Amino acid sequence: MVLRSFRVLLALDLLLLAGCGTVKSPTEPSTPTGGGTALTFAQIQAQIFTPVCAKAGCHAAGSSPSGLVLEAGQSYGNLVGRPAAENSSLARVAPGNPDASYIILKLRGDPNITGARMPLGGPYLSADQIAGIAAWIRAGAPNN
Amino acid sequence: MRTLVPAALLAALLLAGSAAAQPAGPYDPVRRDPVGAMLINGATPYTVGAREIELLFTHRFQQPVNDGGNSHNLWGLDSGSDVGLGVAWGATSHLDFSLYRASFQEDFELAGKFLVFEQAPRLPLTLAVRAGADLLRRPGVADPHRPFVQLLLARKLAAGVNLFVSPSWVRDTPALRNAFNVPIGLTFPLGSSSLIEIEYIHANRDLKDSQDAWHVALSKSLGGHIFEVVLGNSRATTVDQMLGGDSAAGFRRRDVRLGFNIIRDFSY
Repeated sequence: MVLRSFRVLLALDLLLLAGCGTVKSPTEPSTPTGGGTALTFAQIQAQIFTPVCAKAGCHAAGSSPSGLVLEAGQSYGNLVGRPAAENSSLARVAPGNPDASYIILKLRGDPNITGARMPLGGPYLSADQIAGIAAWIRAGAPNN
Repeated sequence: MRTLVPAALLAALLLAGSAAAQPAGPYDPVRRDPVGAMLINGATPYTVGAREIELLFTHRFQQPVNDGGNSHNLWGLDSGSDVGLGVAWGATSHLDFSLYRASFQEDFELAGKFLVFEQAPRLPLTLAVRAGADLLRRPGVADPHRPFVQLLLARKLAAGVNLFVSPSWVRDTPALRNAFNVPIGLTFPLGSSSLIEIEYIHANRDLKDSQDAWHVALSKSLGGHIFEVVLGNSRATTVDQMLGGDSAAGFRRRDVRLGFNIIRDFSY
C-alpha cells in the first residue's frame, strides 16, 4: 500500500517534472548602447585599457581577477569570444552584439552583473566612451 | 487545508508522545539522516526543531572550472564568489522561520516552513509547506519582490537513502512572470557519517534559454556541523534564481562550479 502510494506520487511528479511558466514581455535595455562612433581597438587600448584598467591590482599581468589581463598584446585575446568569469552564459565581448557583451554590462553598471561596476570605484567611463566600445563590438570587434 | 490541519494536529500529538527508549510506534517518526533544513540549495521538509537555531553558510565560486583557463588563476578558484548567510529559527517542533541573504543581487530570502507530518511506519513520507519571498535590494533589478510557495516531500527509503520532491511556484524569476518547477533531491550513504547528495531542477519548457540545473555534494557530519563540498553548474541558491533555469548570474548545462556549505545547529 505504502509503496503503491509512493509510486503514484512519483508518477505524478514525473508528469509535472518539466518546469513551466509565463515568460515576461521583453523590455528595452536600461541604457541604449547604440549611436556612438566606433573606436578602433587600438584606440580602446591606448585611451581606456592601458591608462584606466591595466593597473597593478586590477587588470595588469599577475594581478588580474579571473585572468582578465587588459595589457596591450593580451587584451584582445582575453576579451573577444571568451566567456565572462562572472557569467559564463555571456562572452566578455560578443562580436556584433554589445548588449550580450559582459564588458558593456560591467561598464554600464547593469543590475544583473556580479560585483561592482567598472572601473572599480569610478570615475566611470563617459557615455561617449562606452558608446564607442559598443559601436566597436557592433562592428564585429575587429582587431584594428 | 481542512484535511491538513487535523492531520498536522494528529501528527503533532503522536510525535509529542514519542520517546527514544520506547519501541517505535506506528506514528513515531523514522530516524532522520543528517541533512539540514536545506539539502544543497533547496529546502528539505525538515524543520530545525523547537528551541533550535540553524546557521547556514554557502560559498559558490563564480567562474566554472571548465572556463578557468590555467594555473595562473588556479583554474577559476581565484575568481570571485557568491556568499550566502542564513539562519533558521525553530518556533515549535513543526514550524520554523528562516532568513537567508545571498550576495548576488543582494537577495534576502524570508520563509516560514510548517512540517505537516513526518514519515513513520504508518506514514509513507514527510510533508511540509514552505512559503516566503525573495527581496532583491540591488538597485535597478526588475521585479525585486518575488513570493514563492513550495510543497516539500521526502521519503526515506533506507538508511542514508532519501528522495526529495518539491513542487514549487515563484512569482518573477529573471525572465519568467510565473514559474513552476519540481526540484528533485537524492541522497545516498557513503560510510557511516557521509552522504552523497544530488539535486536536479529541470529546465523550464516555456523559456527558450532555460537550462537544467544540477548539483552534487559530498556531505560529512562532524562535530555538530554538516560540511558539504559542492559541484554544480549554477550559482543560484535562492528560489527565485533556481526555479526558472534562468539565473541572472548565467550558467550553462556543462558548467562545473565548485562551492561548499557549512551547516550548524545550536540549542538554547
